[in-house]
Amino acid sequence: MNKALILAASLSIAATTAHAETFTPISDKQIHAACGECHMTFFPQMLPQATWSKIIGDLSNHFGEDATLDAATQAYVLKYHLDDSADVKSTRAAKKWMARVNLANPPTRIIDAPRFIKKHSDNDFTRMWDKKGVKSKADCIACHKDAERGIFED
Amino acid sequence: MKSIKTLVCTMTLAAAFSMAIAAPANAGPREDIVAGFGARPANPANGKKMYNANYGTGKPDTPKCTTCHGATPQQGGQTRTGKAIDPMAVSRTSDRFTDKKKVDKWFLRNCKGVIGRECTAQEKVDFIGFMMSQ
Repeated sequence: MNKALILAASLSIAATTAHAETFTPISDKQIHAACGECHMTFFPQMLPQATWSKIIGDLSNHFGEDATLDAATQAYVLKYHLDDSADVKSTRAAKKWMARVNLANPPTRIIDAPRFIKKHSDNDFTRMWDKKGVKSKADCIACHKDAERGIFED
Repeated sequence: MKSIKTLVCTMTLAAAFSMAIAAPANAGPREDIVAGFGARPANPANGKKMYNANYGTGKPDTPKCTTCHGATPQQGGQTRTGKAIDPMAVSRTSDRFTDKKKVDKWFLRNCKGVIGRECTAQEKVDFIGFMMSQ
């Protein structure tokens, strides 16, 4: 009974996200406490290790915020991201987010990643952006209601 | 018999009364956090003044508490990245100021971001006192 339900659920998810990649939702409580109080917990598989090292390595100027964490928490957050970065995973999502990434000159943030740019460059995006009055490109949920569950269908 | 009943009743009342006096110092995690700052009793009026003050001495984009936390403590607000912030008023968000680590983290970060310096123990106690009255 349960198996049938899960199978049906997975099939329906697969059917609705035929083109967009999905991510495993982040359930780690420490990550939610350290990162998720200010912004959605972004998926490590969106960026390569080099980018995460740079971002999490200096949180005193975190895109204009002093997001300093204690050393132990910072180390935990860094390891969490490095273990699941786009360039060390072979999931469909990781591959898509690594496509056209130049590791000699890696993106500095998610919105600079080739995959993000490719998916947000058309006029529809600009129109939706203005219409919804989205505050920040870091606010995925403004348009992608299921972003935190790893689903980015519009 | 009646006198015994009266006596028991009086004793119970006396016990309850003395507990009520002792209670505020040790009533829960929030009171423990406040006591831990080692400041004078809270002055909620000063906390209110802090919440509404236009400091403008921290980061340019966060001149006041209300920039992110909403116009009133009952309202709730939004981070710069668009994430919802629960209301600061304890009556609205019952677990406000009950996690010492979280309290320290956010006073440090937000006092620097809004005022441009760390808050004093007294300011923190006044601020929490205001939010407890809301």
